Formats: sequence, structure tokens, C-alpha cells
Amino acid sequence: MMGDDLRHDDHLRHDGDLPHDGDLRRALHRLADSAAGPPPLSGAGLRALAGRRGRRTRLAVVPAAAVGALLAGATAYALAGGGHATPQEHSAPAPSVAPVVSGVPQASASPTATGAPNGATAPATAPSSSPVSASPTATASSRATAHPTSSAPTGAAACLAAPQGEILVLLRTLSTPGALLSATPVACVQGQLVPSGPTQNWGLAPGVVAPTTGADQLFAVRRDAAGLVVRLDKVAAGHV
Amino acid sequence: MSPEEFDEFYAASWSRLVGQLYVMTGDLAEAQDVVQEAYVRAWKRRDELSASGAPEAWVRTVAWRLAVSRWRRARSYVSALVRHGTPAAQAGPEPEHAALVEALRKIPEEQRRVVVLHYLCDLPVVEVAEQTGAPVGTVKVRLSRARASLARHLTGDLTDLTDLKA
Repeated sequence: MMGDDLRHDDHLRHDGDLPHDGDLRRALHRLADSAAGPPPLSGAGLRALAGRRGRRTRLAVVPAAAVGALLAGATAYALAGGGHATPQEHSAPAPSVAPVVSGVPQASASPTATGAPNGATAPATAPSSSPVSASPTATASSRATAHPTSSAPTGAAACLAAPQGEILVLLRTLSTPGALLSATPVACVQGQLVPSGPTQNWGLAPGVVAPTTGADQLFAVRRDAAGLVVRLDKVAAGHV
Repeated sequence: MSPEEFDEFYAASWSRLVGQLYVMTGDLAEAQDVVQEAYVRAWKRRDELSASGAPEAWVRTVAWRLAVSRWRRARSYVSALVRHGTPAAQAGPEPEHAALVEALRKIPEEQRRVVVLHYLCDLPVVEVAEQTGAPVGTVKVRLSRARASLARHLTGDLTDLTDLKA
């Protein structure tokens, strides 16, 4: 019966007044009704899911933006002389090797920025000309990736890259009771360690051993998604 | 659109949209998946959703596009199934709906879409044309061809289906 109705085809027949489509309409409604049920997520759950998706998208953008910001910042520092006197000016010709920029920016965005969107902390490296500790007990230096170029005739500096996911900072102060540390991100620019961002205050994750050394020393720092410091390794003893 | 307004809209329209997408896709899990994804996008673009003036149509359109996109991406997978055989059978529609689902799967995507919008959403042809971006004449032709195709593919009488209890 319905088949006959369906075969009664008329291209010019208009919409809602089709007299023979009632069965099809009812069958479709019953099929659709068979799929009825409550949503698997509450409204709040759905909105939370949307929020998590948004954060993941932003985090994916942060590394590229941070690297770009670091390169731009390093270039600006280099063009401006870095704002620091360079010892090589007296002992060697100007370095002819571009600063080595390495290291992977951490995924967690810090509230302060080096110019990157979302407050990403830029990765940083340490120069070989800085007094990098050769002590076998210096955990970070043993894990760091060195790019030795000191034998180059130009006397260009080599930079020490922070391990993947970590950044180099100068530890300014450490407040043990509150497990807070104050640190300045640094970058290697033409063989010099220079601040790459403002001094920031970070919390220490539970279980992280605080250093017993004095302040103003170089550390490789890893932070978790919440911004807490989960690893803190001394890299070198030196001042910027 | 405030969170409360969105939650209310979501709770009120979920079942309806899943049913419509189920008829469009012939796959309940796929329908639930694309509709949920469409709601996620709706919340993220709630300004656009509010401005549309027809939030349910907005979500339905997004869900439909997601489904179509997935079908196209899945073509290579389907080809592999043809070559290597299908995996273990999955739960299908209830027996009383199987014939209709099977018939709907055999008609082209755009015909299925206009069938759902016209017969299920009760939209007049003009509005179907607006929502699909197709001319009115094209919508009429698609509806006509869909009816003809469904008649060919349905071996039984649809009244048998409508008479069945849920």
C-alpha cells in the first residue's frame, strides 16, 4: 500500500500537503522516537568538555608561539647588545655563530610572559662560557644536551640546552615555609645568559626537594600543567 | 546564551536531534556522537548560536556536516571492509525498523537529509531549501526521488511499521 503511494511520484507536488506520505512520516517518527533517551552528559558536563577541548587547543598553540617569541626576543636582545657587557669584547672577536636556541617549551603556560600569547614561558639555554658545573653531582648538567663548539676558531660560545620540557632559570629566592621560589627565566644570547622574562613566583609541588644552595644560581626547572615546579636541578653556578 | 539557558536548550532538544540524526545516518551511536560534538561546538560558539535565531537548526546542521565528514573519511575503511570482510556484527536497529533503516541507507545523503527535514522536522520545502542551501526545485526533486527510492527498497508495507508498538 505504502509502496504504491511512494511510486505515485510527482515532482511538481508541493510539500506539506502530500496526501500519501502519512505512512512514511509516521514510520520515520517512530524510528526517530526509538532513538530517544537522556543525553549521556549533563549540561554542565558538556560545557566542561567544551572547556577542556579549548584548553587542549590552546596548549597545542603555546609551544610554537613560545619558540617564535623566544627567537624574536633573542634577536632583539642581540641587536640591542643584550644590555650587558660581553667579556668577549676584550678577549676575542665578535662571535660569528648565531646563538643556539634549543629546548622545548613546557606545556603549562605561566602567568607572565616573554611576549608570547597565553603567557608561555620561553625555553632557554645556558652558554658554555658561563661557569657550568662539571661536578658529577650536578644532576641537570649530566642530563643536559651540550653542543660543544668551543674549539671553533672564532671562539664562539656553545650553549647548554635544558632537557626537554624544562626551562633554565636563575633562582632568586626560595621561601621554604610556603614552598615558593622566585625565579627569572634566562636565555642564551650570543654566549651570554640574559633574562628572557620577568621574575616569577612559582609553587613547589609536594615532594620536590628544595635546593640548599644559595640564590642567584642556574637551575633547570620542569613545571606541571598546574604550574607547580615538579623538578628543580642545579645546572651552573653563575650570575647573569 | 547563559549556561542555564544552554542547559535547558540542550536537555530539551537532545532526544529530538539524536532521533533526526539517527534517521539521517542509520546508526544510533554515530548519531549520538555527532550530536554531542555539535552541542560542544554550540557552547563554544554560543554567540553565533544565539545570533542564528534557530539554535536547534544550527546544531542539526553542524551534526549533519560532522556525519557527512566522517562518512567521507571512512570511505577507505569501508573499502578495506569490502576487501577483507566485516568485523563481528554489531547491534543494529530493532527488527521493526530494520527495513526502513536499510532503505534509508540506500538513498543518497542529500535525499536522506531532505526526507528528515521535511517529514521528521515537518519543515516546508522552502525552509528545507534554506537549511540545505539548495534551490526549492532541487529539494522537491530530491524528495520525489527519495520517495521513489524508498518505495523500491521497501519490500513491505510501511503501515506495518507504524502499527507496531514501540
